[in-house]
Amino acid sequence: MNSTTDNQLMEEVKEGKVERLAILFERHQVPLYNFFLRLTGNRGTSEDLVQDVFFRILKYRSTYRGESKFTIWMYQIARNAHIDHLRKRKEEIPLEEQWDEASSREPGPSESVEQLQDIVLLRQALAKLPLKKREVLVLSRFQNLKYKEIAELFDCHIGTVKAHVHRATKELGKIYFKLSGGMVS
Amino acid sequence: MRKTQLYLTVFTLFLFAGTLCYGQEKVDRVTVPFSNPSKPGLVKAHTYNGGITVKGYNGKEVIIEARLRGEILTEKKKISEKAKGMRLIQTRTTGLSVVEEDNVMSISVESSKKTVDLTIQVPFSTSLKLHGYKNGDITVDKVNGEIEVDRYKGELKFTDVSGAVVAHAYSGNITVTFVKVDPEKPMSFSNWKGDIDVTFPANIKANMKMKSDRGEIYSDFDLKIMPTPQEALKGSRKKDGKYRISIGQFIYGTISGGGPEYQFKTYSGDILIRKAK
Amino acid sequence: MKCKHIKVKFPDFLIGELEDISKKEIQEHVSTCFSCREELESLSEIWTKLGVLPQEQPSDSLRSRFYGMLDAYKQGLEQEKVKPRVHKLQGGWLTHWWPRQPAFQVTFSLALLLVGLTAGYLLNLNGKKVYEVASLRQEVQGMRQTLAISLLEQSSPTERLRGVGLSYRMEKPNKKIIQSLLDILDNDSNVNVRLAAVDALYLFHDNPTVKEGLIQSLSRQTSPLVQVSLIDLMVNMHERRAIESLKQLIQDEKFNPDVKNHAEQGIQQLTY
Repeated sequence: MNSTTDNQLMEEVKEGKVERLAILFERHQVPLYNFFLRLTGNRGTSEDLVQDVFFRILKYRSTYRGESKFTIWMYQIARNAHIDHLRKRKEEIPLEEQWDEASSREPGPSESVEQLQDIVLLRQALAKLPLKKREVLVLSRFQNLKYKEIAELFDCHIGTVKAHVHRATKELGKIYFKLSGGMVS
Repeated sequence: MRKTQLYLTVFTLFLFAGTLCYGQEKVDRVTVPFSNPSKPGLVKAHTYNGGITVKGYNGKEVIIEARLRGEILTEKKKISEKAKGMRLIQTRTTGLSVVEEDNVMSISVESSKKTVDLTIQVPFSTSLKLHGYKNGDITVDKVNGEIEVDRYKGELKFTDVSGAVVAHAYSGNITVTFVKVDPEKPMSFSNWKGDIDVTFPANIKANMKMKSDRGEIYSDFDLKIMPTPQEALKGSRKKDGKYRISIGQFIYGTISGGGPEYQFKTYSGDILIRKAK
Repeated sequence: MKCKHIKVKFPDFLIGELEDISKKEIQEHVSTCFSCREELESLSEIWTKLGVLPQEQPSDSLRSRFYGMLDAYKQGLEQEKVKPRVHKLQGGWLTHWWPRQPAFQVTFSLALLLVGLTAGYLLNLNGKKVYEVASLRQEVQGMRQTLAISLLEQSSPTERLRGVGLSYRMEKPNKKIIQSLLDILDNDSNVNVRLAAVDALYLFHDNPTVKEGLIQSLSRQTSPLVQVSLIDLMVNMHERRAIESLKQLIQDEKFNPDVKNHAEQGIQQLTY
């Protein structure tokens, strides 16, 4: 059933079968939502952004070129949507404050209190990372994008991406270490 | 593919048989499943003469009971005098008919001379469209969905409902208690005579639009009164040099910053909008 | 020199995409180079730790908003192709008691797609959440009109209420919307929806079609609530032409005495 590739589907959408976008939405809404969630730390904003991405896909469907992977194109749109969102938002709420509501939630059945604490610290640490490093890290660690694909997305050399990942991870480790009170668990 | 289900089940039940006699009351009882029980269905019920009671229950089928009200005893006597020594072959039916098609169940009671009360048990998540004319109330209990009710005479009593309600009664109080509201859907309550008394969860966000021509409006919600869209749009327009306070205008207010629009309108009753405790 | 050559491979090591030779090379190096080992360990640790961040599920409204948008977009595309089609509205009170509409509107039910994305925010005058996608604005305006009309034609009364609500937030509703609202006022099977339509139409009473339609509608209404609302509206419009209709109403047997009273008061206010 899911054998039709993303690229084929997007070609169909481009040709006017816009209802085929539904399949792409079902495939990518959750990863995309989590991508935004890790960038913005805000659930409502993340949902709005996902909606925005799919709207833009419809709007700009004629500009889709099938030569690269659909996901790369999608994340390109996603990054633009996010940047526009940051630009539009005048009074910027510091990212680390946005997670407060999430951190106060009850631990899920599979999460221990310690794990929950880790989650909170990691989110805070991520939020302190500069945007580009955060993006690279999230894309490579969570969105299953290959370095080569990220390079295509950022329009830079693969070596630059790797260097970014390296530095971002290192920096995140330092921030995390500092936040956790200098204790290594 | 996310195509809406293509299978279209149609099945109709005309009920002549299946009649049980509980004491002197005549009851038709039938259980009908939805064609796609995994999705919430819509139950439409229509009576002219009699009340409608709908209850949510933990099941998948719709259980319908139509009850012929009163007069049964005397009727029976008449028959037995006339037809001495004869056996009763056919008796009056409640005229209940049920049609299920594509998850929409239409229930109706045809006759207008007999008073027939309908009791319908539905899965908790079901939408309702109820229509009745006279002789009895419409009550709904523990149903989650979109509830549309239209009644000429009689009270509307909804308890522990969730979702959204659009209700109208010509004469009769409208009393609704919500457990939860659908945060996206507008609602509307109106009647000519009788009070409109609605209890919402404390955390709702809504735009309220209320008007009683002859009665009062009460609420314990923190209601922020807003200019009417008319005023907002036109400014306080003056004509003939006179400033007219718009009589007969709705009062607009927001709760918790606003949300979907809830309209309340009665001619001679009071409007009570309560916060659930 | 060696260290630099090794460190370049760390990112690939992290994602586990390294050939065995390179892996071996790294292992051999870190077994002797303390600083590289320390760095690799701390990188791996934080990298692994990130795995505790859960994948969250968006709320259901995301899906419904998406499908709402898709529907509206499709509709918009079709409208571009086909000339505006004549649309049918709810017929009489009883004839339409059983409309044969399947409950497919579930997806459409949140068709206020734009609620989340744009329209809703554009309307949110409080400014805080204003989230404008300026370039899309034009498109959104058009879609809102289309959407309002399609909502006005829904079988679910909450959808129609929403459609009415959406129309009266428009600065310049097009002819079709005005016509749909007037049709609703005259024909909608639900009193509540008709009441909302009265209110929406009041905003556009400067439009001659609306004015005429409202005066005409008075005699067609069966619900006293709607009649009273219309009378109030005539008074607010200072519409002297309505006096005639009001006088007729008072003569008419079928009207409720309270409504007649209301009409009398209305006439007084209009002639004053």
